[in-house]
Amino acid sequence: MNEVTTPHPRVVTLLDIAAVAQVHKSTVSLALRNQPCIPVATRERIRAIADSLGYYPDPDLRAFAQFRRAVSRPRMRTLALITDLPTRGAFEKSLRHQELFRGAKEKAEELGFRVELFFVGPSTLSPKRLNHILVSRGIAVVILAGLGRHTTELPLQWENFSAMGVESLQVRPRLDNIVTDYRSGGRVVVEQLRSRGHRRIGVVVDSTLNEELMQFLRAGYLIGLGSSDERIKVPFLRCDVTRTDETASALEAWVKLHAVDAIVASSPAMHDLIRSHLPRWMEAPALFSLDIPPTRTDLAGVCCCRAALAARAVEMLAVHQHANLRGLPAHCATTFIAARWQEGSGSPIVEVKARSR
Amino acid sequence: MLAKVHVTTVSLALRGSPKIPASTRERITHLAQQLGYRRDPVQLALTARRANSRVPRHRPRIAFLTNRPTEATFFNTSHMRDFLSGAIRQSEAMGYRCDLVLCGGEKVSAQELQAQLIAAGTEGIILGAFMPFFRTIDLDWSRFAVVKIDSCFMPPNATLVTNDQASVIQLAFKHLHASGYRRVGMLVGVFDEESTNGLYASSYALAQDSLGCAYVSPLYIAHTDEKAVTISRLAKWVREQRVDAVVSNWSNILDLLHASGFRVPQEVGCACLSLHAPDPVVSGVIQNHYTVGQKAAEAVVLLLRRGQRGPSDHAPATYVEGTWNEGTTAPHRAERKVTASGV
Repeated sequence: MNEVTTPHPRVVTLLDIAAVAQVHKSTVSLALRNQPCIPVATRERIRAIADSLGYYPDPDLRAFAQFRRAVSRPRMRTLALITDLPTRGAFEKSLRHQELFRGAKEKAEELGFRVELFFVGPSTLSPKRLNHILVSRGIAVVILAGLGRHTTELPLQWENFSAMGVESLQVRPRLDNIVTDYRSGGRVVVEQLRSRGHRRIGVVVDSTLNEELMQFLRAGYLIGLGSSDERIKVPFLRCDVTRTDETASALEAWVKLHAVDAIVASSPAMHDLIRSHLPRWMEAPALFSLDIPPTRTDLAGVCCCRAALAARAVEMLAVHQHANLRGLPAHCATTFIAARWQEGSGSPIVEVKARSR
Repeated sequence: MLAKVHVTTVSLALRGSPKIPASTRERITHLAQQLGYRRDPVQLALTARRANSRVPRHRPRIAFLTNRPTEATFFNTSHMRDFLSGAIRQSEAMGYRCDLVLCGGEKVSAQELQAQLIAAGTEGIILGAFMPFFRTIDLDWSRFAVVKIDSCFMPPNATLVTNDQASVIQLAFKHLHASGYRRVGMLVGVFDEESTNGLYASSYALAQDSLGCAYVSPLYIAHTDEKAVTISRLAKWVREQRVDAVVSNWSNILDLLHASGFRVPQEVGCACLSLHAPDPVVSGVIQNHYTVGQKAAEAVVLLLRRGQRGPSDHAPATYVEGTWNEGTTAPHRAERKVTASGV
């Protein structure tokens, strides 16, 4: 009889502790989990009350809560950075792609994305396979990172993706692109050289440079000359930087034919090649470079920040993702990121030229 | 159960969702009527409240500023209308609101406008193609995320969004060249050339340079010139330079050619670089102003997300491409000869 009337020892809950401690139940919860948002004194007081009431956490509930927290922890969304380089080794050697990757990664992490690199091309993933991987893994954000001249088509199911190109204007179907401002770069370098008294300015273009970017460069060159006079225009020389001897002899012939008195190299690699061959020539023209990476403070010319291109692409795609904007654009837009003039801390060629004047 | 579909399909169908095929929707609506289904008004009120309560109370505002003096002068210009509607559409897609603010009238001072903008919760500003000959305004730009549509002539330095005149010229040249025209001449407004820093001339030179066409020096005209002067200069230029097709960013180029006494396309082809919509007659390039408005809104939102306000040096510039419109004023030259001999 006695046993029947004795109230069943009820399980002590957070509410009971809260009632005694005169705080909200969430405070109790946080205090017992030793959360730093509750003052230490309060935590200790609540702990003591919990002990005195004989509180112990329900192990099943705790396991459940643990499980729920683990499941609902926001997963980082993946952003696919697509290149068409044949191998990872080639990627690691390409300064341009390294910079793009670095810029994308830094910005992506800031915005809660994780960057993953994908290789598409004849020796790597086919577009079909790439599409399959992206769709089945639920990857919805895609950046084309400086695809080369030969990659002109990339048939993916674009309606699934928020996508953007970085210096990949030649790719069909067309996407919005972000590019280095070769137009202002070409213009700035020509204006600078003209202000230093150079009159026959020639541009040597790396054969890997996309046709579209070269057109921007040519436009900038023409604006920089500021005249439609045919006599001051020098045709661009297109060279393969890996074929040293061929390039060197083509250069020599071109400089002589057009009486070039200043050379603008489209890339640091081209710059270095020209510099190593220049002293053999009779009259050495001044040498400048486009596309100078942040590490080459020695070169004079125009710097561009590839990391900034990729970072902007990530930012824009994050905006698109949040607004659920996907698929191909009706009309494409190209965003130009400014290129800056750099004096160069010590290009020997420039010094030689300066003395000879 | 009668419709043999899932309950969610019924729910969507009765709410007229486009996710359900129209035929299924009709079938389900019909069945619901037959069965005498009625929505529970209490539940309806509850769901409506829930749906509405999800709308955030505070939607930051993007002001689309124009210095056109009146709303009428703004809305009479089709490209301005397109800029604005593109900006509004994209702002709303991204959770912002956007509306038109006039600042070209004489009444509002810069301080008053600034106070009004801030009071209305304005965080971003689109400078919507300010015109140099109307009054401009100098606000405390550091309070706002600023993006310009055109408006290059005025401060602050900010992200620029504009039509890609360079690619528009290239596009027109490519089509004309493919149609057999070899002496393409460009007529361009002298103010347009100045406000784009010589972009027209250089793109024109580049197009000729890359297609290997003969160089025809461009004809510059000012909108302040007498029409008669323009017409006689145009006629003289076409004859002297032996121009076989004229491209121009002036929307009345076809009328000008007619007024100069040329038969188009028999004597000279014509491509207009500033079409606003598909045109059955005039060949040329359609400028996608709506997309420019959209991109301007996106650029403002990007700045707001970054928390970046005020002017910035070396700001990026976004250029929106045009679309070729095949009219009748620049047919293939072979076809043109057939037409000409027929006339």
